[in-house]
Amino acid sequence: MQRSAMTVRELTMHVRRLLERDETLANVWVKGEISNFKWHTSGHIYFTLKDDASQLKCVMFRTAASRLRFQPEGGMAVLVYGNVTVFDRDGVYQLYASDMEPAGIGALHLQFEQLKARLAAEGLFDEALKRRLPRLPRKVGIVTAPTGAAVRDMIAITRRRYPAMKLVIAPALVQGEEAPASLIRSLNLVARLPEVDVIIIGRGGGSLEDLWAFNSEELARAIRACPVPVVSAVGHETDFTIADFAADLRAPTPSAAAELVVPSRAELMSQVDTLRSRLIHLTRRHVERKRLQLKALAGRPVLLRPQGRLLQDRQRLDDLVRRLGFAGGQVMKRDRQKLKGLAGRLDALSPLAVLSRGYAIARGPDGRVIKEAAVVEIGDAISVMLARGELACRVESKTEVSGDGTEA
Amino acid sequence: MEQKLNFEQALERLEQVVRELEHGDLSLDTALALFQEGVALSRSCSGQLDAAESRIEKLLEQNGQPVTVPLEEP
Repeated sequence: MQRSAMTVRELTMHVRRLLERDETLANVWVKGEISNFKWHTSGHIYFTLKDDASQLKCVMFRTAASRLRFQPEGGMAVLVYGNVTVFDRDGVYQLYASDMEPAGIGALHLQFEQLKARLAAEGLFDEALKRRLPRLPRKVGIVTAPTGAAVRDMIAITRRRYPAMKLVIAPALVQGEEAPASLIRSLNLVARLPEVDVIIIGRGGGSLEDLWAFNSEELARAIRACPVPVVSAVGHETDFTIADFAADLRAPTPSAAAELVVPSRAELMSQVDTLRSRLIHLTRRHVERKRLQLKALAGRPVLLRPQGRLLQDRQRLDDLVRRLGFAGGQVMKRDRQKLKGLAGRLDALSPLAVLSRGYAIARGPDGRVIKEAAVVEIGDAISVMLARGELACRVESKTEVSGDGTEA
Repeated sequence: MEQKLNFEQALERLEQVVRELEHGDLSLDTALALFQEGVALSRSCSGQLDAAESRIEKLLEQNGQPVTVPLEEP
């Protein structure tokens, strides 16, 4: 029997290949206690995971280590995720860790994900259920701890954006075992107050355990059942809770919630002002258009006694246009009645309508409308406008009427 | 005018009035009716923004009923 010896290197490679082919070892969560923890100057982390029976060498490279949201240390119970392979130089297998969480939180995390999935499947988080926030709430309910930075910040922001906004602080415990029941009680209570059009529920930043009350299923259901829109505002921007998913709107922080819920008075005022200016401008345009039509008519007066009246109407309109200009709000019912009459008369005054009834308009050589015989001389050329067409005529004789011709 | 609208309803109606004035070849009559309505709406909006009654209250429960008391600033 021939001996064919492998080199150490070959054997190590062989073992490595075996391990790397294994699906379980390719991505695995391992739980244990940290020992021999070393944070190398390179940024990599070296440690050993152990339990009563065994030990496992672990390494976490800088990129993964920099993403950790907590500070690992010796003695800490953790869950580590990664893949197992062989470190050739030492001929030892080890866990190459890409993620790690404290073991306690890991369980909570799992619970969170399961609850979230269940409520989502039930439809509790459906977009269709989300209600729009009022543009200007009459009163804002705030369910939170009555002291602390969160409530202070929200009050300060409200004061800045809309000093006269009414707030009701509904005190609640925001952490600990009693917190979910306390939050639900305050939420339900404040929702029953008249004028409360929107509610903020939340608290300032804290550890995952501190925020845990906001992951209560009962609270999520209470938020969904609330008769007015609810904005959640829990912790910091990176904290997500079940309450956030159930709420009509998630605000990243309590301050942000106040910004979202309390409108800026200045912005609303300028919005109203813009609309008002637009309203006045557009109405002026409409009236101006009609006025120009009227003016055109006045240049060709066609009724027996139209001009005085037209001028009067025009003056009234001019007057109204002027008043529209400096005080949009000054148009009273009376003016509106007047204008109503004017609008009707505009139609009646159409020159064509008059001419079609058989009237004609005579104009002198200078183009002026002739309203009395006295203004023309025998032999003058005048033009006569008919409903259809125009006649060129010469004055052969005339009869003057005594008295005021314009009043004839 | 109709019943008192809340701010949101008044603002939305005002936006609609302005849109109607922007479009459409309106009779003077209609334009002025819209104008009058718009002026009343914008007044109602401004009036609601001018309300100066600032109040911060604290919620209490009394025999199961919500009641409020003025809040001493935290």
